[in-house]
Amino acid sequence: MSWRDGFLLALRSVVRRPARTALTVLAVALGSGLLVALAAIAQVADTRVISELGKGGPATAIKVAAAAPDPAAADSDNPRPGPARNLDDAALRSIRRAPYVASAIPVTTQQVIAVPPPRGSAITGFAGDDPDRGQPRPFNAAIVGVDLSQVHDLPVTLLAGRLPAAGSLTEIAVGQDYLDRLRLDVKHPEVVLATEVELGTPQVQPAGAIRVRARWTRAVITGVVAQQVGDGTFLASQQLVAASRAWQLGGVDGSSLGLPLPSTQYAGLVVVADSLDDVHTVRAEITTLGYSTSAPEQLIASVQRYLHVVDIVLGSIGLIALTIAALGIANALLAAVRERRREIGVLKAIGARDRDVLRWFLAEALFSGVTGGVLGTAAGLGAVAVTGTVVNDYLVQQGLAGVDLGGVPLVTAAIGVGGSALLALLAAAWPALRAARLPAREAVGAL
Amino acid sequence: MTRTLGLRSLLAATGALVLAACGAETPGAVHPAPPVGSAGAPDVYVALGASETVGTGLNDQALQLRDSWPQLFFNEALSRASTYYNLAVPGITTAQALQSELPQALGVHPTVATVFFTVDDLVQGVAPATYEADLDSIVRALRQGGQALVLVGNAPHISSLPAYQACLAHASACPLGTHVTVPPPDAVDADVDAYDAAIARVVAEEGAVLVDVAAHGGQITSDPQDVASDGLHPSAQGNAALAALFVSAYRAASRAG
Repeated sequence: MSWRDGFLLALRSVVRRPARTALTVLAVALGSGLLVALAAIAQVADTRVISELGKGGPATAIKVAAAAPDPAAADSDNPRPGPARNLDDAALRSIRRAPYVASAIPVTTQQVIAVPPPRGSAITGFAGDDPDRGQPRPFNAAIVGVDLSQVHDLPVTLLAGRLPAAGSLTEIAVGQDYLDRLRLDVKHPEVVLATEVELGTPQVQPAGAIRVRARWTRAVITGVVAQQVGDGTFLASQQLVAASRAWQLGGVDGSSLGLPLPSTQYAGLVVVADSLDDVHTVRAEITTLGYSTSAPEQLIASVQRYLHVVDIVLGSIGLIALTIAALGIANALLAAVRERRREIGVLKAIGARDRDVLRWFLAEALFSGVTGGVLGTAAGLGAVAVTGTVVNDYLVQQGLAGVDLGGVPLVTAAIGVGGSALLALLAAAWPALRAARLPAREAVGAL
Repeated sequence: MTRTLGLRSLLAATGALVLAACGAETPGAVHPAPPVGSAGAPDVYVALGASETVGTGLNDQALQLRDSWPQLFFNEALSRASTYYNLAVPGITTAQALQSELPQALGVHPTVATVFFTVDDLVQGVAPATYEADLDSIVRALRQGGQALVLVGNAPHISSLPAYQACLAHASACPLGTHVTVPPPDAVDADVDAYDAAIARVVAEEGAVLVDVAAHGGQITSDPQDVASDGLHPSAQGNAALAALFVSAYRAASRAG
């Protein structure tokens, strides 16, 4: 008897006892579904929690301030920076050369006057804070400029729309404080998308009746973000900030007018370490180079310990469910062996060998395992999708970014189906061996 | 038959669950980015002038930044990729602007410029011929051999301005300064006409574009809604009216190539 014959025989047995088969398959489906759902949710939760600590960027990101380190607080996650210190290209090169540094992204900032919005791009729902004109008043703000092609390495979370194109001089993203300033509902950030904002960069003149002149540009708001890159209402390309900065540097220091010239080339850096284990070493190296750093390394270590406990608990629940499913398979096959003693006896009487009977029962178990695994995995992933939708709705209502469930996790699905099949074979091993070793005479005689 | 249907139902349910999993929501999909139009040609615009161009007369500095006519012109006439510099200085004459505003303007290599000087030259008694020569120097330099579009505004009759009328009626209550004696309306209007004639000649000679504020000036200088509380400068509505004139002239010139 070949494996094919074994499968055909198993299929006939399955069809002959649909209720028992359905219950066995259901038990396997419940077990595998629960395990897949718990594994996927635990994985997403772990990633989400760690990424939350990274504020949208990698958890291995370290913020470097344009300030000297405070030796007394070097090991703190958020030490108070020391005196201001120029963070320039030479420092950037030194930090990039340091061991375990994956990347170092410079951050620039520029003070501007913002006029939201110019005529022709009215914001839906804005009541206006200027009783004369029904338009928002100009305000002082800062633009944070970064290389937007490396935004995945920065603590930036997109809440609505999209990020400005890398290198764009006419696109900009705003933070939630922009919505607050315009007294808009943060739960509906989409109302500011595609509206324009005017940005004026002041230049202080050496003398004259007019001390300050502004360079004005306009930018369209492409997205709303939550960002921890630097202090500023706007996030833009480094080219946009560089053009504004060049205009301000063409003037003189205006500290007396509240418009001082920038004291540092870069307002800060975001340095990404090779791994979480390297964060401490990289921070120590940057401290040695003379700059203050901050990173949630101790917080992450603490949270990871708690997450590990949660993973163990969730995994245990799933394993218990699978064990129950395995016992169900074993029980069903043991009952089948008892019921089919005559068939086993007849098969052996006409020449079937022990391994042929073994194949028959293993094939039947494999059918239950694979079918239950497919159904359970699909149900588990469906449950994850529904949970994700509910959670996303809640997060968006709270003005937070949604959870990326990443579509169908193929590895998890494969493990769900394959694991169920393997478990079914293991659970069936003893009943199948018992059936295979049943002497033909005894089997027939039992009748 | 029943078994076949059962198997089909099972397969359909499995497919539906897999599709549901595929449709899991991803971040950023809740509020997708709306389409953003082209940023357009990157013009560099400079505004040269005196207090009217700064926005004096608007309630506070913040509103000057939003409602002054060059700001409105920048927003309404030019593309999003454009850059704008307001180099105007209150109280400045054309001769002074030649020394202070023009070099800064040329430093940013403008492709569009607006020039609007008259009242301060008038108040300081600058002769029309001198005014014309200085204005011509400014416009010629800004034109850069035809590379930049230069819009020059002429002056409306200012004898109907509330401030002028107040000075005319009671010199001691003149908002332009106590005991300022203003010339009679006919003389002021004649001076304005002489300036406007000079402006027309400069515009024609240098290939600039005339913004005929004088032709629409009656409302801007006499309508209480268009004049600021100081009785002299344009209000927010007056700035909007001025901007509309400059925008209209710019668009007509752009269409003409």
